[in-house]
Amino acid sequence: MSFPQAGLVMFKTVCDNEKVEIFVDEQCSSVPEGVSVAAALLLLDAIPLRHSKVDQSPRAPYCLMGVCAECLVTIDGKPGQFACQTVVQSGMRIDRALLHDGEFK
Amino acid sequence: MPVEIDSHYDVVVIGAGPAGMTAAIMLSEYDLKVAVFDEQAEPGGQIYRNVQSAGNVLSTVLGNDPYSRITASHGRKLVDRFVACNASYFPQSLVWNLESLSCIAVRLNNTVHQTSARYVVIATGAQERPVVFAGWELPGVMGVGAAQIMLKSAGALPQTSPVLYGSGPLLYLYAAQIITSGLLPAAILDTASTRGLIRSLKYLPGALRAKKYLKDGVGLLKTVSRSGVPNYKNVTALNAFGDSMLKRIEFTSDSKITHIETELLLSHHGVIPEIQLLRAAGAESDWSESAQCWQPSLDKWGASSVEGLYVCGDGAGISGAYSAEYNAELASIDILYRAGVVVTSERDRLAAEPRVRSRRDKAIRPFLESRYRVPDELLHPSGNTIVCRCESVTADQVTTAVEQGCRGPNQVKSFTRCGMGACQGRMCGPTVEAIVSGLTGCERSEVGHFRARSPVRPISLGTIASLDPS
Amino acid sequence: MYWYTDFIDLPGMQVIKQHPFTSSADTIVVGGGLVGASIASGLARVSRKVTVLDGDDTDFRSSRGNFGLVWVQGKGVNSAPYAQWTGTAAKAWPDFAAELLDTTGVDVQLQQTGGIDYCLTEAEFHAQAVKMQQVHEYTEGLFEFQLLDNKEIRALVPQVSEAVFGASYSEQDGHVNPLKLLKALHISMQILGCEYLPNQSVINIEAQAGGFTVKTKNNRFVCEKLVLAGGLANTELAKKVGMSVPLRPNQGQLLITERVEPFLKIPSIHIRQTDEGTLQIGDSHADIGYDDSTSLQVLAMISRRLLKIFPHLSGANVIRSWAALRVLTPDGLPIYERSEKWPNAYTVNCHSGVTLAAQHATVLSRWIADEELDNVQGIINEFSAGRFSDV
Repeated sequence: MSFPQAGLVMFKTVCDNEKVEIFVDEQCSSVPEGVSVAAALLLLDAIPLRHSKVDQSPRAPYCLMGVCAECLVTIDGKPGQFACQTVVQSGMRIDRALLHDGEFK
Repeated sequence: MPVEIDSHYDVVVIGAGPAGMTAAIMLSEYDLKVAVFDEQAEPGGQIYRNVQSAGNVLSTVLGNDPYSRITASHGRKLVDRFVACNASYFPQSLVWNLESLSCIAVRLNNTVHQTSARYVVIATGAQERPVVFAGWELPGVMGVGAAQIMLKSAGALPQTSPVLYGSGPLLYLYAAQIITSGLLPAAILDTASTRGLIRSLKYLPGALRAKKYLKDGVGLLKTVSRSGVPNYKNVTALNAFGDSMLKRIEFTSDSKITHIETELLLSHHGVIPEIQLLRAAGAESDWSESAQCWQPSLDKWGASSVEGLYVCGDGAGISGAYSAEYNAELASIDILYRAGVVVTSERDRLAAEPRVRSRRDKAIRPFLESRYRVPDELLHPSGNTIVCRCESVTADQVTTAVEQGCRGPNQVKSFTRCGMGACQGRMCGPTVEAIVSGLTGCERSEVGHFRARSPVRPISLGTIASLDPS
Repeated sequence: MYWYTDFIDLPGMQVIKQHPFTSSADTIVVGGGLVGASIASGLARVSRKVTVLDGDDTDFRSSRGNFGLVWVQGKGVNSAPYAQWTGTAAKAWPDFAAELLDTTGVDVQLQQTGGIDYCLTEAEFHAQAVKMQQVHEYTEGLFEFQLLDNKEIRALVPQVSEAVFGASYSEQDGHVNPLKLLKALHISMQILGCEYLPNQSVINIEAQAGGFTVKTKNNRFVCEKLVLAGGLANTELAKKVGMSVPLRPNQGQLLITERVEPFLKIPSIHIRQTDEGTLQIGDSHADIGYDDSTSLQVLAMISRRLLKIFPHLSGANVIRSWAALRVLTPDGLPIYERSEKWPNAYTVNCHSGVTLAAQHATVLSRWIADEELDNVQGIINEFSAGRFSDV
């Protein structure tokens, strides 16, 4: 699995939980059931998950507990959602807030 | 699980960690009508996160790590009692507005519900203390707390050996946990100063009253030292480098500059109470010089300066998961008394044991606070180091604002946008206060803090508009 | 002269680091908000030695809570001089903004691209039409406006809902970034030589022949001339120097969203998009005293109304809400007053610290500095507090 702006795979799960399929930037990916969207994106190579709207720098989840607001992504069409406070659901559509050719989609 | 939020409860409990669960269990045992609102999908808070559904996850990863096993087992019992109690529990709900006890706004399924209560218990826990350094906004830099959540919620370990930076029990707990599960950190960069170690010794006799913690702590340190992981001491001046991802760090340890190539840096400098909701509710907080953070102003039962509003758990002042239960019991007992459920003598009888336990449990705090005191220099960043991640405001910009005459965090915010982003100042507030204090020589208590306002977490216009106008 | 013992090179630090002391200045301006800072920089520009005493970080500060409109529309329904004063102020803004940029390097993001006042219903629209016509007539045509139907609105702002009935539009309106303005004024006044002393809430003023003694918590200041620009605190302060300044707080609540795609060039009293991309949403009014807490029902009402105008913003996330207190006089017009008893004491009070900033920094400051101002003395007299003495 790879994403257009692929970063590194930061975490790997060592448990064989049931998997659910989600769509990250329209690509279908399989992630452990019950984890947060942010955890799922860290397990995939979906980092960075946004660019700063202020200085365009790439950002990744920092706290995973709803404090830092670094993990804001679009979930099922709703922008600015806390990925770390949202549990993945089968069929969920997640769009990272990335710059494409210098512009946000 | 109830589907509807009622318009009134005897008690609204916010947060379903150890404190919130304990309060809900106790208050509902006395037949008070209790609602519990919690952001997570499952009860447990951070400490017992996924303790129900992911018990297998932890045991798979951690094998026989006794500390983790005992914690999980205690947490599971508490969660079971909570699930069985009569309180109405609303997972994935957010109390975003607490303007008074008669006006509590809850977001549930993208709709706002208004409810009210005679008493409110805030049990929203802690956040990791934000300690900034150059490059901390790079992907590849995370909190140790975040990495531990990956472990607890997804059974996930870092792909590469991480560098652990900072100090405090959680740093060494996480180090021990991943070592136990077969992953050696690349290095541990300990910022606790030798001075702090010496200073802390005078608190050691008191800490002996909480032997269990000392024993656990010694065990963790042993695991780490036996592993042979390089452990740098007196670390300062950390810089993280990389273009789009973390590549390399540079730091000073015992006056020697060292470079390490790494793709994952995990930072931790202790935890501080998360008191955004408390402040938005208009309750007062005090600066604690020993704990280096703001703590709610509370009486001995946990009652805040707002009538009927209580705080317990780490949000009341960091004291850990067991103390969270004891002070939740004390708050509950006072609520029962004030609600006319128990008389004075019964209140005092009920309170005797949790008070003793709480005191004993907290005996370790002065030792820990001084042992792991964050050195002042780490709290006063300079140059291009980003202070406010949301608005990309640098330490220099904050400094300039102070030079332009800003004497308080709120004026700094107006001049620089520092604290105006989606985290609402949780990540930059302490640093801004420290910079103002450092430049002006004013005490932290005088410098003050950002004013917190509703919503305590970003919430959409459509959701706010969904409130029933009646 | 200040008596420094422990000099630290930060504004105000001399005082903070000093023990209680007495100092003297030519002019003291009480209040470091938009009004005080405008006046102070104006006075400094005409070579006055000015000290600004500002309050504490958590005081009621309408300058940090306001909406940033440079607004002419609807102002002066019953007062031609106010309409004229406001109209002149709006016209003076481009030069003022350019000068601030030049002096301070801060671009206050002035946009005078016109302003819209949306009317959701036919009834609102008719009431608005009558009001605008009145102002037009009162000002003998100085104030120009247009009435727009839905189609005309949508030609200007395509995102507006078809459900909006109509709007009034004036091309004289606009907006700035009010926080950048506050910062620019602070930098400007200090560049021009003003002494800025924060955390100096004034607790007493004594008038005596030849000057005033102004007491703050820890310090005492002596000056020849005194300008009260302390917002709502002026009522009490003005009494000390023989002036009656009737003011009341009027609470307004505001919401601010995350940054969204730029789409809104034309501001309205309900919503404007800042240069950063955030949306500032508001316009509530409540006479509830000195209360700057927000209320759930008001925030919901503001959101509902806004979504009726811009339904596409339903998913925009609100980062923060706040309430601030407008500084209102009984008739809503400014009070510019010179004390009869102590003629070196002045007070400046108004709700429109942004719109009127250019006037305050120029004409009004020169009036306070005793410059000859034949052509404006008349209009300033119109805003004397004396107009309330018969009431």
